[in-house]
Amino acid sequence: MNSMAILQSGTPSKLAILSGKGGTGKTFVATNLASVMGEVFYVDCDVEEPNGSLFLHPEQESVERIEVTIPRVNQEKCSGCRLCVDTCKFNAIALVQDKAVVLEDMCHSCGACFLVCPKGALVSTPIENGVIRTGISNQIHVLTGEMLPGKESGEPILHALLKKIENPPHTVIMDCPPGTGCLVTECVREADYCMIVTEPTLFGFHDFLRALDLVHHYKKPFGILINKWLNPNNQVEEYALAYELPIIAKIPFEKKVSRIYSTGELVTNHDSKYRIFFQNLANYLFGK
Amino acid sequence: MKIAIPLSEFRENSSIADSFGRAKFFLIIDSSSQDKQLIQNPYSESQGGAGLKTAQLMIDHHVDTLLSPRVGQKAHSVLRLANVKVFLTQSILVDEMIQAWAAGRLPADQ
Amino acid sequence: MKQLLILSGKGGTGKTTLASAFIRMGNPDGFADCDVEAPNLHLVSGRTDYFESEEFFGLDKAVIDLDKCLQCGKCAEHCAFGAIRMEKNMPIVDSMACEGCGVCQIVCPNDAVTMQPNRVGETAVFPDKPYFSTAELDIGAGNSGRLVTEVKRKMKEKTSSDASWTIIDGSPGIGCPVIASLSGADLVLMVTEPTQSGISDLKRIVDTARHFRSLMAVCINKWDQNRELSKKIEEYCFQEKLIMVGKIPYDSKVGKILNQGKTIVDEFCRAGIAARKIYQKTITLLGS
Repeated sequence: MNSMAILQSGTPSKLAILSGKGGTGKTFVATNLASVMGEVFYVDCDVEEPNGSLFLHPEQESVERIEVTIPRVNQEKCSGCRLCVDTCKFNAIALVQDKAVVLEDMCHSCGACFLVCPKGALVSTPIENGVIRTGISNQIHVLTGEMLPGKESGEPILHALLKKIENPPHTVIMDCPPGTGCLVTECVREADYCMIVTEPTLFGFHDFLRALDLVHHYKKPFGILINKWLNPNNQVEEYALAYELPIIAKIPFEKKVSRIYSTGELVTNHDSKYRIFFQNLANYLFGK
Repeated sequence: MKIAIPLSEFRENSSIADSFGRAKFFLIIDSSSQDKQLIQNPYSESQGGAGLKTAQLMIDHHVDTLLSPRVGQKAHSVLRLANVKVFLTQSILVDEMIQAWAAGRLPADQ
Repeated sequence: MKQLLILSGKGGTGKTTLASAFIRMGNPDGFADCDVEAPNLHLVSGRTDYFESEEFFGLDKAVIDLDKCLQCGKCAEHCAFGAIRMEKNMPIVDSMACEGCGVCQIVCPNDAVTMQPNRVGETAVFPDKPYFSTAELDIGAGNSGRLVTEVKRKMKEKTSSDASWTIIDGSPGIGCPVIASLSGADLVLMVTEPTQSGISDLKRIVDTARHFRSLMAVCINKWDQNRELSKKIEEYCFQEKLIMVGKIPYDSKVGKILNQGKTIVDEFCRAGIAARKIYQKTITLLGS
């Protein structure tokens, strides 16, 4: 690893940690990296299954409800004309006994129905989609998005989360969800640099290629971190070497690390070797 | 009361369709008058939301009872709003199914 | 037709590892990969036979005819998803952000907006027995729930109504692709791991599945990596009346076997033996 800073020092930058495959170590890397960086933002963008707080134990947490606006029908005003039913692209409104009824879980809050209702029978109603928790862990500002189970999409939570770090006073580490769908894409779009955390397995390699596609699509500077590394004979490493892609670090597989991770502890608190590793990684990325 | 059954072909003695939302046709029987009506389901080929739209179709035809192979969660929530009772079918013949329903042998879909 | 769905909440716990082993042991009439953002089942399914692929289209997306555009800005103003921005007084649609709601079309005073077909992924079906249905979502695309529904529909199309059973390999998380896969599942098998993250995510997926009143069973993968936490999981299952169907020990052979595109019951290994016991218990549950 060089000690050359990838991102301009002095300008708070946003790092997105993604993987394609789940379980490769995004949260492991994100939380441990944050733990050695002094004042920094750790943003848990995996709003469906956020785990960063389990390791960082943020204190003084404030909780902000994130609401979305959905229509509710004023039955007296509704004439049963069906315009809203036919207009809704998400099939979120049904006509029952000549009155419109909203299926709240299906609603995407687009507002189309309000525009077409000739009787003003739809009432804007806020409902909770999830929360954003803000807390502090030593010097780390921990922001966690948490969607309510049963909701279809965590997009409103993520959107609100990313708005909070639009012009951040400190470096931001975004811990992304698994996959390469719309939530991860929003994080990548927001990022100045992407770190693809992968593992040397068949599935890991396959999903790494998808993550790579995503990063290339948005032309983001990126680096690869191979976690649970065993030996140089792995497809990710061979591919990266063949295409001259930057491998910024390899973390060898260690049972001890798995154990520490399993208990919800930071490896930087338990082993100075890792503390030094993550400090070097931070220097490499952000310069000090 | 009106009973609806999803069919795979546009005839009274057709076999039962495999699924509710994708059923191309429905047989609607009026239990009091014994009138039978065959209708087409314009939503069977919808890319998405077929179940929901088909549920709306049932409501629009004032169906009280639906005898069907499994009905999806979302379609079910719409049917529930309209108090449509749903019974799961095992049979593949219309007559068999109606007899089973009348004898109370069909499980209600929760 | 009985349907077994394999979920996890947390990514990387071993869904596909177990699903592929079950498929090998049970010879179901059909199986499907509903992890459309990162499908991996085909890598270990051993299928090299003919398959049919089809493009999959999500909701139509907004396209603006600039010749008809009056530059009033109403479309950008009303878009709830920030998908239209005005650049030099002309509207630009960000098609990745566009959700296809049609509001812009409704508010446009000059019919300059049309909603046009939008490809979001591709399905593939192996039409020879056992029927295998899979799909891949284009990177960054939404509509993952709809694609999951399509994958299941294509599998159902092929498997006859009196077929004994089918297996679905699900996706991580608790959002719409998971919710779409839950519909119609007779039994949901949760694969978890003895880590704080694993437990936290298990609780959330259980909450989500409860929302849909699914019958649930749980198994613990790599259970001996943290015996105390494994015990905690078992206690949680007991409290929540979830059926515990078994535990798989950590097995260093698993990675090597999977990397060859094989399942853990294709070669002798401890994990495979445990998987067989879990399979027996799960099948018994499914049958009842």
